[in-house]
This record gives sequence, structure tokens and C-alpha cells, in this order.
Amino acid sequence: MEKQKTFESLTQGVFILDKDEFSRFIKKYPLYPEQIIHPNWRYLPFLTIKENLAIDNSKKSLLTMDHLLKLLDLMPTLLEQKNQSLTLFEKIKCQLLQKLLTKKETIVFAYAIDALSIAEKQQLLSICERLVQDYQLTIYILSDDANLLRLKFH
Amino acid sequence: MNKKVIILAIFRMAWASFKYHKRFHFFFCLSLILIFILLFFMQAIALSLNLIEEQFRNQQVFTNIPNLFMQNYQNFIQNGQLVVLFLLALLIGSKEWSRKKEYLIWLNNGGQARRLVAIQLIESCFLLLTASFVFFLILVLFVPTFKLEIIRLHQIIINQSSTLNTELEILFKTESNNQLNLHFSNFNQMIEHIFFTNNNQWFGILLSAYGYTCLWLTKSFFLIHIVATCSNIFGRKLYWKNKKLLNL
Repeated sequence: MEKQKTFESLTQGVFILDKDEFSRFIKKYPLYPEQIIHPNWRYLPFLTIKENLAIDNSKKSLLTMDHLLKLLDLMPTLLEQKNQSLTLFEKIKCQLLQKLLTKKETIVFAYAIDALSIAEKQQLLSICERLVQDYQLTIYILSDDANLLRLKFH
Repeated sequence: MNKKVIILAIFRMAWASFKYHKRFHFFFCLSLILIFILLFFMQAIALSLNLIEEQFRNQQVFTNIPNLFMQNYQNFIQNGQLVVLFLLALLIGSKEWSRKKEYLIWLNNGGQARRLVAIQLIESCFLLLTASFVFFLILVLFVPTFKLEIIRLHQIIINQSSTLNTELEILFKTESNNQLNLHFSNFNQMIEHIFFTNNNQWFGILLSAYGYTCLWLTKSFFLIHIVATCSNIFGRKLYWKNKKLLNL
């Protein structure tokens, strides 16, 4: 019988975790603020979105901005704006773009996608799957959504 | 990333922040100008002391006066500088307090602490330059007022010490071989005479006082600022360690 996969035994993939599992996870693995995607992305209002994304200049990805914008289905004009109201989905995508630009290998969605519509959730999950396949990332989705938790591991 | 590009980006961010926090910066600059004025008076008094001292130098009969005189001024200047330092720390502390959310955002987005310190210092540099420029304009426009206030401050400092006051009264009333009571009836008259007859020297004193004020304030400002910003950033990092952000 095949052993059941757990987030502790895997190094790559999309993992959907509840609060308890996530508490166990962060006790074992150190987590840094720059790895986390929040539902309410707080950015510096006096900078453009592009400048906000460039705050973290530690490690630069080899992927181009154009390629990532296409992958995430984001408009380039959005990045040049300042102090505008982004939708929740745009905020999540912008943060994801930031993590990809700075070559983060582990990304955590902290209750970020619970409030999205079903179509948006599906789109985001397919983007996550593609990122895992193409760039060998580890993505943790922390959620309270019972439907989403039923999906568990990919 | 190229170093030049990073430095340019830091300057651009500092300028954007400087423009964005207009309301706070208006009050910050206003307070900084007040601190400038306070410190300027201390420096002007310290520098103009030489002019008064010259008058006493030849009075051998009253040797204890210069000592008492200097002690009085030293106390005043030292206490004044302590007050200025305290006000400066309070002002910088208020700026740091108002920015704590921005620091958290910066750190959460993976920004480097040293870049944040650089941005804050450059932004404060703009503020300090603005305040010093405005203060210079005020100084040029109100030179006579500043002059009168400095004279009044001298008189206040002298009148504060009853011992010195009595000694000076004796000095100006005793008819001995001192030269002072031939020209002036009291200390206030002497000061007014010194300050109104040496116009050229006066302008030099005001300019030097302005220069020393800028130098002293810049040094203290950046020293306090660096300590305050680093402590604030350290505090934000501790906040993250508590994991309050994840509601866990």
C-alpha cells in the first residue's frame, strides 16, 4: 500500500493546510515574513506597485518580468500605478509576482485565497500547479475553507 | 543590481516618502526650526561672550567676577543643550513612532534593514536642509529682533545669579581705578553698548552661531536618528517573531 503523502514528507508541491497543521509546520520549519502572501497586502503608498515589488532585492530571478506578468495574467500598467485600490485577487497576484521575482522556493498563502471567488481560486490553483511543475516550488496554502481543505495535497 | 541603480532607487524612495508625508513633515520642520532657534541663541550667547569678557579683562580689582560670570553662562549653555537634545530625541521619536507600520511593511516585503535606515536618514536630511534654509531666511529677515533677544538673554542670565548681580553692581558703582564705571552706569548699559557699536563683529557672530548651530544639530540629529531607527527596526523584527501577523 502506498504511503500517504504529508506536507512533512514532501519537498515540492502545493499543500493545503488547516490551522493546526500549519502550527505544527512552522514549529519544524523556520518561516520568514517575505515568504508569506497575505490577503491584505500592505504596501508603501508613496511608491508605485513596481517599486514596492522591488523592495526585496536580495536574490533576482532569471525569469523576466514580462514572462511572469503573462503567467499571472497581470496588466503591466497596473505596476506603474501608485496608491490605487487593488482587488484582492490582484493583491495576491502582485505578492506572488514579488516572491517569484526574488526567487523564493517556498511560498505560503496565509488565509489569502479563502475570500476569492470559485473561478479565481481555480485560476490561482492552476497557476500554483504550473509553478510547481515548471520551477520546482513548494507552495503552502493555509486555509479555513472546508472545500479547499478537502483537496488536501497535489 | 548595480550599486548606482540601488543608490538612485534609495534617493527616489526617500524623496517620494518626503513628499507623501507632507502634513507630518510640516509640523516636523516647524519643530525643527524652533529647536534651531533655541540652539542658535545658545551658540550666539557663547560666541558673544568674548566681547563682554574683553571689558572685564583689565579689571584686576574684581578678579572673581570673570569666574562667576563664566560659571553662570556655562550652566545656562549646558542646561540649554540638554533641553535641545531632549527635544530633538522627542521629535525623532515621534517620527519613528509614526513610521512603525511602514517599517513592518518594508520588512514583511523582504526589504533590507540597512536600506530602510538609509531611506529614513536621507529623508531626514531633506527635512534638516529645509529647516536650516527656512531658519536662515528668518535670521536674515529678523536680524535686529535676534540681536535684541540675545541682549535680553544676557541680561536674564546675569540677573539670575544674585551674587553676580551684586558683584556687578559694586563694580559699576565703586569709584576706583576701574574703567567701566567711567563709561557705563550698569551692566545692561554696557551690554547694549557693546552689541550696538560692534555691528561688523555682530554679523560675524550671528553667522558663526548659525554655522555652529547647523553643525551641532546635524551631528546630534543623525546620531539620535541612527539609534532610534535601528531600535525601531529591531522592535519590528521582534514583532514578527511573535507571529502576530499570522494570527497563530
